[in-house]
Amino acid sequence: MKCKLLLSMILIILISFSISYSQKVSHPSQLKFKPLKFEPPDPLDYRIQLNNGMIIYIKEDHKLPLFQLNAYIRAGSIYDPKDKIGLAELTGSLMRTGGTKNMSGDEIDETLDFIAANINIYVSKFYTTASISSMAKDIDEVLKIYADILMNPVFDEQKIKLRKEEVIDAIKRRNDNPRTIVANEFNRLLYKNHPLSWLPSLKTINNISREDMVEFHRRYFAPNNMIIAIASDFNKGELLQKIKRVFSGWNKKEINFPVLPDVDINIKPGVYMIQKNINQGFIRFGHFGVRLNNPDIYALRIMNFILGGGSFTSRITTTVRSNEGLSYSQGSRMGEGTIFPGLFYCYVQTKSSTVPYAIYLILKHVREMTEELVLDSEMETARNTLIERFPEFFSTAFTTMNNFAKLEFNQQPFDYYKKYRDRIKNVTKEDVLRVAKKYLHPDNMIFLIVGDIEKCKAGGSKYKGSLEDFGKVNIIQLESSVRK
Amino acid sequence: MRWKKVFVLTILFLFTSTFSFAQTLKLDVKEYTLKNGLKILMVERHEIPRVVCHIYYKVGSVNEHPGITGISHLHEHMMFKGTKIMGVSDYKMDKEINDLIDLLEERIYYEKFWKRSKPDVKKIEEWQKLVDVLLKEEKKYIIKDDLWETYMKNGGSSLNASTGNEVTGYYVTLPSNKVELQMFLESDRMANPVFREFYSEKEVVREERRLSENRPGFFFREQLNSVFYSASPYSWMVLGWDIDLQKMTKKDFLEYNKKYYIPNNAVAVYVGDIDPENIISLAKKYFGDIPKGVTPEPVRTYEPPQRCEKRVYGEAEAPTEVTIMYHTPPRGHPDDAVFPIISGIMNGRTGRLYKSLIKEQGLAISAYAYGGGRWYAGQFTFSARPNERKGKTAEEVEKALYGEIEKLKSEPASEREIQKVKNQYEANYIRSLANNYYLASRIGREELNLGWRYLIEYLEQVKKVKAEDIMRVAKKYFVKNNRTVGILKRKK
Repeated sequence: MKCKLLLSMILIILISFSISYSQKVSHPSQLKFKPLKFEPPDPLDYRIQLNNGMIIYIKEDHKLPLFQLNAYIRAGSIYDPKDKIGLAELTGSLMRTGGTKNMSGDEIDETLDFIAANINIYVSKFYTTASISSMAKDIDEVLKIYADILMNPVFDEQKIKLRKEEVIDAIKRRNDNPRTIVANEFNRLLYKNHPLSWLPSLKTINNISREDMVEFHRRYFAPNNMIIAIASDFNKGELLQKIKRVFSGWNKKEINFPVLPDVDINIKPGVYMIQKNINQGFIRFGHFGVRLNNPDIYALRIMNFILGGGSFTSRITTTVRSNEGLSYSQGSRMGEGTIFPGLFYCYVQTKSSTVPYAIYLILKHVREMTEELVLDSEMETARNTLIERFPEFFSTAFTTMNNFAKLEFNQQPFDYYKKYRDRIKNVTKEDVLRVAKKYLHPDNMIFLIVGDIEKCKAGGSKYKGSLEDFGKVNIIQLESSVRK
Repeated sequence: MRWKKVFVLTILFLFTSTFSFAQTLKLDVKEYTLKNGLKILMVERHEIPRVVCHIYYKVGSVNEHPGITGISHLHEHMMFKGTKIMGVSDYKMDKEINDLIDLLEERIYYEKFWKRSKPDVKKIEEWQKLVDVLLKEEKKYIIKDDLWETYMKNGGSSLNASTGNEVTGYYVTLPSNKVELQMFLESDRMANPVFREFYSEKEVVREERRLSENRPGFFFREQLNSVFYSASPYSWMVLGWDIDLQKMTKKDFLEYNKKYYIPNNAVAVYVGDIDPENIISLAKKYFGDIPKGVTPEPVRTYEPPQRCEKRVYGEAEAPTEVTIMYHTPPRGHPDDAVFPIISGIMNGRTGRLYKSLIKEQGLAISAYAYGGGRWYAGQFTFSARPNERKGKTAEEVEKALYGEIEKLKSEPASEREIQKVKNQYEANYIRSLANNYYLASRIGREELNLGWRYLIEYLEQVKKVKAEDIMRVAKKYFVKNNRTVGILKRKK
């Protein structure tokens, strides 16, 4: 009896020993992992709509004594008038710096800086974000200022002058960096005269008056035109009361959004070059992409992951960087536009003499995507990567609320996250080939190269052909007006 | 480069604050040291089932010398090329081919760089052809970017590596059930790295360097930095000089690896949904039998005192800019804690530089003060861009900056100014705790220098800074003979 007990004890010790010091496997593929379950939170559990139309996603978060808020407001530079490009951006920054009916801009800066609170307003193409980051103890003071900025900005003339100088300075520096040039000019080649390609100039900035900003603010800033995400070390009910209080008197209003022109999706294929005295060619080539609500979006994401979106696991990086040593940064993007189609493009930067060769190699991969099924192993890597990383959408309470707000802002369904993993899982390699055939057009592309034109054209020994192989070569002159 | 500095500064900000929340917010770092000297740091965070896994080696550009500048960074790249079991289907075959390639490349190297007379181009071409044949053959046995792909398909994110002046780090964030994978792969590449595809990766790194060179004003900033440091290894950039990248040999590389990639020169950090006991037992299992190495000698050459002002003038297709750099003490010196307060007083819309140079005088379009102690030296920089539309010049702005610097010496800063900066530190410190990635990065890096607890000690020091300290430190370091001035003008 005793002996049996001793034996079983030894056995238990041995077993537990073998668990903690189990034999090392000889290859990572032999590692066994315990299953991991993760269910995403439901946006509707956190969503509240106030009587003034304001939509709020809110979650208490007591880990740290912080208050974080971010609002998405449907007011972007896409609504700039053509002769006043830059208006939305100026309006946004002046709301933050130009004072309110109750406080001057300087008073606001001094108050916020002293309590280490940040209020930021950032204007992009389709929306403006207005955010707060402060200590939870300062919620009352910060919220009051935040609401005041959104409701009662006065756009002080002196501050307008200061901001215009900064904007003009940025315009003058715009063409210093080849990276910026390639992005801006590729947009311009694809979107042509559409507002999506517009950039402010000295003239359009000088055209903008204080009254224009007052009007832009009056037209777009309203509680029913914003969705707010909040995470805070504070009681949810009390915080909502505070929000109602600071925004009281700010009423719902009908907003007449301007009718935006359609994008002309015809393109003029060819090679376009811009002269810059640098030792590499900065290259971007492609055509139109898709819209976010496209039913093929998941298959497209997998397709682009395999082509050039999945860093070292993608074909473009493997060939151009890893095998050939031609570049440090390369890949492809499948743009998912919200209202208009985004842009699909491949990119690479390589020394002038390998510019034609790098383009040739990448283009070959694009073509292959439209001709052959991808490998099972590529499918597995792409799917597993996207599925296994999924919990990161919810890494903090604030990230989660912000993602939910953005989801609704982009008119995506509430069950987007719930269905996300299954949608990825269900994509087949036949789907990938089908969407590649449908959405990739290797014979109808715009190739943009910023670099030393003659050296890029000359190429090197690795590629026998010339840039003409990709289309007629056109030279673009950058607007010299930016320097004036 | 300036933006990089501003970024570094921001990170610094994140961890420098006073401690009124100290009770609830103390850093709960668990530590364990393996017998071979590998240090493990752990912080539990159970919000989502993910773990930030970082490993830091105490090696960076300060460990290099002329001839091998840039080797730390190239080494970081090569650590992704595999081991005896990763990245290869038949190690024996691969090794045979690889050794032959090295042999040929060595010949090419001697022919190209050792001969006083002209190299024999024909010979080089012949050898190169042979290398190309061998490379083609080797491809049969190479599994491309195996380590990277293995991390990816197991849900690895924030997957990367970076090399700095003092530290090289390898990063991945994994599902919490797969931390063992990181232990497997990182211990494998610590113990058995195989540097295949060395010569093509050199070309990738040279492209990376060109990418930096094509940023507006890069060459000027690189020159300015190398003038500022006359002897210290901070005088070359992490990217290294291109000529060294070209000449660096496989032999240099193997020596460097052997010297620095040892367990007693590294720290592994785990932040997230972990059980520390489990991490320790996994660490023992995977890293435990890697032999301890010889502790590398600390950096020898410190920057000697500067005896005269240095000035650098240049032109580029970049905005006109004035940069004034001062030598300051390294991290760990008591004066170092004063510099974050100085930059706090100077920067931002309520800071002195904006108010004076931009708003009141209309002299500049932007102005910043930044810097502080690095491991073996320190630098503090004032920089500004003149408002050229208003006809203001770099020289006028330089003068105005000296005006502000003199004020630091002669007038005590107000209580409110100092308190504002301290409040911002406290807040930013708390904010930084929200991010597992940055937390791992800060404790890991500091551990290799002065120990992770120094982060807190440093906060205490910053909190104690008084108006007199600012005046004293400004008088001591912001003097003419201790400065290098760079004036970059836009090329017309």
